Amino acid sequence: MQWNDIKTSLYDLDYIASEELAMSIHLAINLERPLLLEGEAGIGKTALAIALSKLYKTTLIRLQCYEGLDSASTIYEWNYQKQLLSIRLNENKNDNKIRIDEHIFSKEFLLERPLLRALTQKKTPVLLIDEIDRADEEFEAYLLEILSEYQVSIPEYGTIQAVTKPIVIITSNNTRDLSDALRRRCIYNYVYYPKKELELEILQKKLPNIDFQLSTQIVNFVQNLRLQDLEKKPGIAETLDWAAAISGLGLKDLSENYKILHSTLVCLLKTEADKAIISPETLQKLAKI
Amino acid sequence: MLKPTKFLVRSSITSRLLDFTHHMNANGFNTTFDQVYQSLKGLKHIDLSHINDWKSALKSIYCYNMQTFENFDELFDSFWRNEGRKKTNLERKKNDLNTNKSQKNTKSILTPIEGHTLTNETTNDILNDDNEAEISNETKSKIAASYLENNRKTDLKELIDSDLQKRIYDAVLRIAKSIKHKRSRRLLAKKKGEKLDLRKIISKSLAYEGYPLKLYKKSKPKKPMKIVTILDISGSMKIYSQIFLTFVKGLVGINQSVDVYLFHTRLMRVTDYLKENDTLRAVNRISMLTEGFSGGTKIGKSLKEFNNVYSRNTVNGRTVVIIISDGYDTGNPEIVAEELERLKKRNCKIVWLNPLLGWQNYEPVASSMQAASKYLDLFAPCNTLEHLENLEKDLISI
Repeated sequence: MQWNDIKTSLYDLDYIASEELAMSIHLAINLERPLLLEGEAGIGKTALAIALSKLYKTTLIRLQCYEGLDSASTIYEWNYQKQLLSIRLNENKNDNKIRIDEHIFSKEFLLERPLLRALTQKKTPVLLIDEIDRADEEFEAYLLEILSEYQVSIPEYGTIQAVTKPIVIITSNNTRDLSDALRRRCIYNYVYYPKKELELEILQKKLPNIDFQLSTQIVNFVQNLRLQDLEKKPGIAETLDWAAAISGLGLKDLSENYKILHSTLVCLLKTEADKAIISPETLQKLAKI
Repeated sequence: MLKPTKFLVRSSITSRLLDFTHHMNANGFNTTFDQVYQSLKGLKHIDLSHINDWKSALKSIYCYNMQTFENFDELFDSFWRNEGRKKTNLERKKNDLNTNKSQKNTKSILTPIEGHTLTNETTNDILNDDNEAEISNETKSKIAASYLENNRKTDLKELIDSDLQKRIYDAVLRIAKSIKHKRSRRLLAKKKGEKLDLRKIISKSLAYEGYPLKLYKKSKPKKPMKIVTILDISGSMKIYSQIFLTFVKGLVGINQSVDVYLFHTRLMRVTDYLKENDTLRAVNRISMLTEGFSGGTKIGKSLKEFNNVYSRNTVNGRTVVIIISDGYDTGNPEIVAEELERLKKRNCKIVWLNPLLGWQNYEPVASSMQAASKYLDLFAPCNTLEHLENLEKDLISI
């Protein structure tokens, strides 16, 4: 599959990728490297992983990162309770006693967490490591081992080699600097806010019920809103929410009813200060452009 | 800009790619051999006859953060496209017109470092400032400031010799130590912890047939503090700039999370440039980066930029923000207070070091300084080395 095939097939799945992004995906898959996506929130980094799993008709294994994430909740853990019960149950059966240690450290007692699960799938899965910047730096270190060797060593059990190499998508919102080692291992792409034409295309693809003129108005409005001095600029996700709200309320034109329009701004502006900046007057100005 | 190789002799794609890697490296990219290898492997999967495919493929492989992602296109064009000349089309022309101004500034990133010294620039900058800065009370005090400067022999403006550099580093180490740790709320295993670690007790009890013979404990670990330094390098601060740059360079050198920003009329993140091993080279490189800044100081505007773009990523409850500035602002002083309030909401500690505070008879008269003072955890002088060295005590107490 060439990169433009990926672009068109993703398009059919309602995901519209820029050319550079399609190329990054193409290379990441063919060179078997993780794809590191950075960019503002709400511009479709996570959505890409979901679309890719649909494209390859495979499972999506998602690992949401947070502070304090450790190997027990990301790679594997022994099922201690079950092991204890098993020991108790086998206590009275004399014949099994010798082999009990082998028994309790078998696959039956191993709890697979997302990273290990991604390595043991029969069909290449899509592994989404979401918001890696939220996890601690130690987590990056053992992630590195898994992503370069595609294997996990468990002291009591042995090494588990990947059955298939997963397609790895790592997203980051830049809450902290990622280590250079991880960055170098990845194919990199920075996802920007979409340009006007692209955003219009996305909007029409996702919400085909809204007529072209209103869609254009909506996209123009959001594009201009992003130019304003806002604390939190609206992403594509917000644009889609807002467009859905507007069409749901039955507005045919943005300048039709400013009062309703102003109340729908909750979909776009997520902080108190931003709401204060977009006063009814500014709103009217933006809607008329 | 580095002269790109011309296609006089047809060479293999591998050697061209190696040249390109050197070209990127000379222009501030961190390159590895692996990237060359990956690009060659990638050749199989792309259509080389389309230069845009080649471009976005190399972009995916050679870039590793936002800054490199933004600079890549220009560097690619300069190497592969005949010194950056492109087929003219309307869009490009329009872009050129728009970006002409900003290119002036970014250009300096691409210039190789030569024997530039700070002193030349200092004089230039002061001259520029006199021309461009608004004529106001601020300007007058600037002139007065430079006059006073000359009378103080112990001031930081002395040239840095190795002995002094060592003293600065010692001070830096102690300062860093004093703000090194803050307790985290998450619990981690620890020998003499406060709480029982049930998960570990159960897992380890397996060895004793399920009897919890050994008790394992956990407690809250100490997490390292982050330091964010925002350094004023405007004309009125220029005399001190080099010493503070050495200071922040020292901070970056120690093993701790430190982020450095410079401002003047606009803000710029320079942490990566400071990772250079040679102090003088790093300082020179930065002074070249900031060449394009125009006269005047806009503290409020710069802080606003910091809040809008960077603070979300870098500032949290475990951060100490150190602002080094004399507080003379040609912008609106109200913004400074507003932005400091916004910054303070991130639950960080704000320390303002002011070189003018060390002078006799100095009151924080600069209006922005007055507005700012209520949001500061520490407002300290720093015009002599002793001040920097004594900072440690104050920092422990905040």
